[in-house]
Amino acid sequence: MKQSLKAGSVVLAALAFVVACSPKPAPAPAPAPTPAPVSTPTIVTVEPPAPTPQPTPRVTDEVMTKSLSEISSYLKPAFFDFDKADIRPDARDVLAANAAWLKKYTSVHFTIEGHCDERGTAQYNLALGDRRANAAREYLVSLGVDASRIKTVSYGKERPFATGHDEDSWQKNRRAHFVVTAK
Amino acid sequence: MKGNPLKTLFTFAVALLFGSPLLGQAPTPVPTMSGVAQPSNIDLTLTGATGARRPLAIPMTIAPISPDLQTRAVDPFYTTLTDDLAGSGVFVVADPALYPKGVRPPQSREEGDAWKATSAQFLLDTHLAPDGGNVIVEATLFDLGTLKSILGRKYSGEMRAARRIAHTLASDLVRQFTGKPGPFLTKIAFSSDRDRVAGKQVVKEIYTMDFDGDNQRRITYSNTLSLAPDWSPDGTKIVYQSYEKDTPGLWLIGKDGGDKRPIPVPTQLNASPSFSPDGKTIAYCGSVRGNTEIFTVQTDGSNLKRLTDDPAIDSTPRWSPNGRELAFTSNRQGSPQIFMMDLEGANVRRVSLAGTWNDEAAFSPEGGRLAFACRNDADFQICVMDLATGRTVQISSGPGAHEGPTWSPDGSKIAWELQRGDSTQIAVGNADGSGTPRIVTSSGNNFSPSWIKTLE
Repeated sequence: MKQSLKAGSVVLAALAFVVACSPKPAPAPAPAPTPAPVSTPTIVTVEPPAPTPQPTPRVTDEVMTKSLSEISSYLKPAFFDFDKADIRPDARDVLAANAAWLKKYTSVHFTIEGHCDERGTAQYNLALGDRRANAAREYLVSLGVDASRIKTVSYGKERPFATGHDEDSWQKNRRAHFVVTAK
Repeated sequence: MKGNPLKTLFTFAVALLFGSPLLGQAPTPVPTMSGVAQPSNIDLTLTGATGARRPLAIPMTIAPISPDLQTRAVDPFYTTLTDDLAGSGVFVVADPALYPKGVRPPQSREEGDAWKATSAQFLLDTHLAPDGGNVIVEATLFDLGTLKSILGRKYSGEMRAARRIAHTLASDLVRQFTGKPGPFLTKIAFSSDRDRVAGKQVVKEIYTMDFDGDNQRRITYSNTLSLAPDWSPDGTKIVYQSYEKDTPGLWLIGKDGGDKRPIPVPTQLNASPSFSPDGKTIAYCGSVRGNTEIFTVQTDGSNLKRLTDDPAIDSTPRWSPNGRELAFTSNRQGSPQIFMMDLEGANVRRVSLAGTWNDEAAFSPEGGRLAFACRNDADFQICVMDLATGRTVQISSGPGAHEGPTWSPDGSKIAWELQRGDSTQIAVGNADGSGTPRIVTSSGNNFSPSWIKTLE
């Protein structure tokens, strides 16, 4: 039992190496290139590995098994002042956290939606929303997120998150909102 | 123009229209306008002073009418006719409760005076009669001063065309006094969220309707956001913004929903399309690397030109009727304000000077006036500026956000989008601020009206 486990882990390690070197990440240990691992003798006694190996990638897998909309919720919205597209201090923190997450999950592609509150006109708000989405995009790029992963779209005041007519709702609607489109 | 006679006249008109107790208690002859020089609480600040409105009596047909004809033709005919004329800014409809019975057409001075006692100076004598499945309408307009007929018309059409006949007659009557037809046969395009499925995201589709809200018809089936329609100058096509592809784009569609096609442009956002007066070019708000600028492009996507070059927001272009200038909104001096420029993007000048936010400019058909959404501290209202003098009048009032004005092709009316609480609807009012605007939509929420640019 122990022996086979060890042999298995070596096979897995070898596989992991092969996978790491291959241009595309292969998902499962499906077509194993046979010869090498079998001939290797087992020398070192290692601690029995955890039930499933590779602790770090496992986290990735867990997050990445979720739906796109669930994954989207890892990316928090950045909020704006009325008729402004400047990144506020609180939005900087949010975007920095988003950037860190995005640099970990590099396969994620996403859209930044620009939204506005109802007080501006519909047409101007489309322009303002465009500016907000792009301000958030530029900030992420400045933090090292690859621009090719990011699309932007403005919804102006067309798709509000809160439908009240007070500052509480308005603030919720003045945002750069993140939607993951590929994982 | 602030003289008392005018105020008096307007007070009188309002009292008649709304059955004010002022007159209700004294229904007896009011032979001349000066007879009612009483003070009133009615707010006169928005009257706009367009001159005399002619008091007109519109008695119903006296021919025997079957119940079927009554409901299918007669009722719709008179409702439409009265609404059109009362809202025309040209006439005041005298109170039907005061009409004398049976004295029509007036044959004698005495009979004429019986009609004048209702305050009317003109009498529109109409007769409706069935003709197979059709209805025939005969109309004669009498001057109660001279007792002479000054206009005679005869119309025939299917029963269901009764409203259209009424619109045609109203238009002819307005032409009789102003020299140009009324806008009663014109259409308005707009965007509506009524097709949204509960629980799903907002979708908006383009619709058209008669100017008074009748005949609402869905034009697009985009199942996404379709926004900001604008009619081609000949009234055959509509340009609009739609999110049908991933990125919002410019689209053209026939007025009946056929022949839809995109206008390919390399920019993003692609909002607020506006047809040039010659129908060849679209001005729009495009985004390049996160900065919105005003562009023009041929309807086939060729000859793209960027007109503005400013790091601030530039949006919402509208052509002047002579095709030589564009109005647009920019916050380049701080708050959003209206600017103008020529087609090379040169000669940029700020037009709106007062207020914290002025936006969504629309040139009047003759080009001398600019309507726009204006705001100082509360909600948007609709303002109209005389471009020669800069004099600006607020033509809307009351609670709610009033946005996106569009002119009727005769320049007499303006439609806009009015948001009150959770409901947004299309309002139609007189361009001089007189009278009470009518809300002409009710299904779902309705946005961004665009009045057709042709009169018939």
